[in-house]
Amino acid sequence: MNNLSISEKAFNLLNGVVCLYKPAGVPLKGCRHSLLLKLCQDLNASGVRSPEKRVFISGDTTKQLRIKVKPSYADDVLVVGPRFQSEDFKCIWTTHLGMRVSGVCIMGLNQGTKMARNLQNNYPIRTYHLHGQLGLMTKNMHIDGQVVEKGRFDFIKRENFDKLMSTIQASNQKKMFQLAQVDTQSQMAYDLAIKGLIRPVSNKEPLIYGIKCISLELPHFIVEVNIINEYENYLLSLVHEIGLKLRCSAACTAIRCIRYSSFTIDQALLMKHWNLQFVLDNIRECNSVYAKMRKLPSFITEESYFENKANQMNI
Amino acid sequence: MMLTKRLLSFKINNQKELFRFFCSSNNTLETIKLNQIQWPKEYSDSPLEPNVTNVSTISPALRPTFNLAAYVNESYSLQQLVKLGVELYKFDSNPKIMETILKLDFERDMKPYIRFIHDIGVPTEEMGKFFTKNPLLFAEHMDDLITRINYLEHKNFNKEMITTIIRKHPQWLSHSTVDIDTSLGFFQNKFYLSGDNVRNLVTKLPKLITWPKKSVNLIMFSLNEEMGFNRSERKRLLLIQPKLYTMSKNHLLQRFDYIHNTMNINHDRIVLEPQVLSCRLFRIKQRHEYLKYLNRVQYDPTKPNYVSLLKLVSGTDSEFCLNIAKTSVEMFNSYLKTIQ
Repeated sequence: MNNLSISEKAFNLLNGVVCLYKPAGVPLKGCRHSLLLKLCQDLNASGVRSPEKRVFISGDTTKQLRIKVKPSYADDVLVVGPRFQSEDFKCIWTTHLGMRVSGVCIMGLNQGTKMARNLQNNYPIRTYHLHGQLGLMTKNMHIDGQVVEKGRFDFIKRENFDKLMSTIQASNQKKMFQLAQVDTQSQMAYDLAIKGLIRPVSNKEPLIYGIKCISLELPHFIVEVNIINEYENYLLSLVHEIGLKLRCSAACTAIRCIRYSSFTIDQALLMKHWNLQFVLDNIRECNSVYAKMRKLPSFITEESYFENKANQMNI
Repeated sequence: MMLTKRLLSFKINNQKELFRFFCSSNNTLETIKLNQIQWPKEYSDSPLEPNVTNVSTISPALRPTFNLAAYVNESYSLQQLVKLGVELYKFDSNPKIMETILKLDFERDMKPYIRFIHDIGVPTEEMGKFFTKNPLLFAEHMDDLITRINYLEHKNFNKEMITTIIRKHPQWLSHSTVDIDTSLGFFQNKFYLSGDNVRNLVTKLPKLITWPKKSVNLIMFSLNEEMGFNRSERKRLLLIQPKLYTMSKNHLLQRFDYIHNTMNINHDRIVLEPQVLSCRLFRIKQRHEYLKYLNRVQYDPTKPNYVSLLKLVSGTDSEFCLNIAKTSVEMFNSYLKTIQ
């Protein structure tokens, strides 16, 4: 049974989730394209199967016919194209990361697309590092936009910053219970809270679980934020809001995702490492992480997800 | 598996026209002769009687197709092309090329051209790549090709130069001498080049000569007005790094902006080492920021620990870490994960 070529064996192993380090300035679609392109190149280079055999029958039909078995030209790599093409792969990303966002990005390959979907249904928490610059306001809230306003920022102290952070966190904790549609003072709220993190019912409303300032070197600052259901513009406006609340203005210089659920930046593959060998290693590592997560009681699998939906519909 | 997949996946909406190609099979409508087969008498009565007619000349007609793979087992010419190493699948998207290729007979139409290309100096291993790039060469007239080579000889290009030009840019032979002459004149006048300069330029990057003049003019404008290179500097850029003139304007401007404004490198140094402009932006950015982080940024040649721009952008990451940054690659990689 060992008649598969090396590349086919490798292709069969490409099932699972892979953790990539997405560079800023490249859309996710472009990342997927370059990943699949590189994988196909490597698979094609690592020895593909030879063309299929074809039976050639020739000669006069009244006499003995000549029968030859030769490799079919119609199955030659030069005629039908490379054996592996990017359309052969199924590949989806879990959370959409905007163009300006860099950092951890989880993609499901082939049979791993199901895993990627499961991960997404579990409302994973993402951790972001938001880099900002004070005293500058731009039209699109990012540093590359047109500057609208410049101002002083030297009056800002670490205390102001920390105070603001705790205010934001407190207001979001309140919102957490609101979104779960329970009263904060009730027994139901207590029951929910002891189960662990309270996750929102919908996947539309962003919710901050924790926010703190990890570095402040005026005018630059870095804010670490644990968040769910976020999108690029929300993060940009968060930085903008921080600036306004500090009675000054702020523009975002970089958004970096450093953690996605239990996938951290250490596992993430840099763009130069997006090739067959590294991706295979990475898939093995990430699949074991996924298997560990799956064993947790709070993990929502596909079946329980649909059950929950049905229950909600009944209510 | 691949073949059927490809056949099925063809979007008929995109290519509504079904191309019924002319095929050199001996049973097209004109050549079928009804009286060729003499069926035995009372054939229906004696099915077990041995067959006495030769039916080997009869074969089903070739069906219309979307790709060449359907015909390659029947066609001797296509098989010869495969043996040369021509990537036939690349023509599938272009019905015009498919039509031209299918009409050709190997011995009659292709052999002279292959011999001609070989005589110019293209080695046999590169023949497949050559005809993959320029399959429509078979449709050109032989006299035209000879004239085009003669034109180059007339302009004092020696044999090696001509070989390099054709090998580097297979499309060259499909452009008429008038076009080439105008184009060479354009570069000579715009950049005040001498004859030798022109010949060096053409040998270095033949693609530039057939490049659309509109985009070359745009880059020239950008270099002059937006980046502020003067006439002699632009000429030097053209002679050392002609690739810049075939680049996208936005990319070039972004790179220049980063090198000039962020890395603080003046025009003179860029002109001395223009290779830095043809390096991708993220690479320059990563390496420059890493050096900055290590406090090793020194682009001034008169000071110690000088880092030349050429060395900064050339070589792999491990070479860069070993020779210039003097750190381990692992450290560089983990640093890369902390920036954008």
